Amino acid sequence: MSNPEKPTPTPETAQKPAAASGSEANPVLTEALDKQRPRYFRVSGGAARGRSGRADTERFADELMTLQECAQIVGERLEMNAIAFGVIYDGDETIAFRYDPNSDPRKPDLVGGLVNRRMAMRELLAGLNHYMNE
Amino acid sequence: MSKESIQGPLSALRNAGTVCGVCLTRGSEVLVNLFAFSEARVNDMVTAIDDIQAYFKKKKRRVDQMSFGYDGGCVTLVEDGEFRLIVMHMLAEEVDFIAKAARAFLADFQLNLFAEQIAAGNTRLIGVVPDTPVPAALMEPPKAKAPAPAKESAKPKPPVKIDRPMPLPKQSSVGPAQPVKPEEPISAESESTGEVEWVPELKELPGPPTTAARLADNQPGSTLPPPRRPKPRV
Repeated sequence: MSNPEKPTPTPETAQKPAAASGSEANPVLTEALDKQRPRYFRVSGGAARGRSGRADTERFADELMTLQECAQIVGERLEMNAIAFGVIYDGDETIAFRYDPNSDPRKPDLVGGLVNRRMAMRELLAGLNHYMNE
Repeated sequence: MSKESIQGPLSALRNAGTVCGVCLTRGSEVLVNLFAFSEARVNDMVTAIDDIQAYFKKKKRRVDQMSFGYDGGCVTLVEDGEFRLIVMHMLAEEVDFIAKAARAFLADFQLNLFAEQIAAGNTRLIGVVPDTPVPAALMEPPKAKAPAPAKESAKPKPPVKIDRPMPLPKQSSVGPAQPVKPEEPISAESESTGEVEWVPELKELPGPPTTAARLADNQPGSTLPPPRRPKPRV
């Protein structure tokens, strides 16, 4: 489903991915993890951008690939191919993405988020909407 | 557990909000299907979801809730143990409400199954069924038994013989009992002294008017037509 060559993050690295990679801790990431705030990312033209450091953005890209494929598999069975969003609870973590409806359908942009708590899905989707319109 | 007892709450969830499909599964096995799609399509979807969950379990990830939004609606999946509830709904804002309701249903469902196993005498339930031995690690240390309350239905005990009178417990706050004086009858003097101070005077209440309404002189006695008398038949 996701790229098998890339290592799956362990629970410790899931909590603090920057520390696991050995690089210097990103202050945005540290603050978001401490206050259990969502870290938002924007994906456009096949590249993901975030403010919480490279390791965290790479991890989000991995999660996004998995989540998109899951949404696509389920959607194909129900003959609903246009995906709008996807959210999962993975242990004590919430992962979400949402397509930007105002972007080009041939090259759609999307935004995503990671939170280190079980956040209400509606709340996270509203946060993604807000981040999308910023 | 009968299928009707499961379908009742599932039908309630099916009719809640913008929900348009509910499916209860165990692994890839469909237990109850309230989707409007064909059975083959639902089976296909359930198999795909089982594959997804197997992938996450293989990676040792605990994904117990998923929600995907599409152009034609949203699919929310809640997993509890080996059972899954797949709900299709229209509004993405309802996802948390639906997930909560689905989780409550799954908890009740599992509790019902557990109760049925107890009723059926499942020997795997250690300590719950009386015949099964309880391991020593689970045993609590023996406590001092409290005196059992006397049963009314027990046989009457023989009267206890007392050789000497039992001393009464001393009460410091209450003094020795004093003989109660008989109440004195109320005398006429005590009444005159003002113990009964005021007696309200009874006034006559206004009764119904004594004068009856009178008809005018030129008014007929009744406005109704006079009663008809049957004509004698010849």
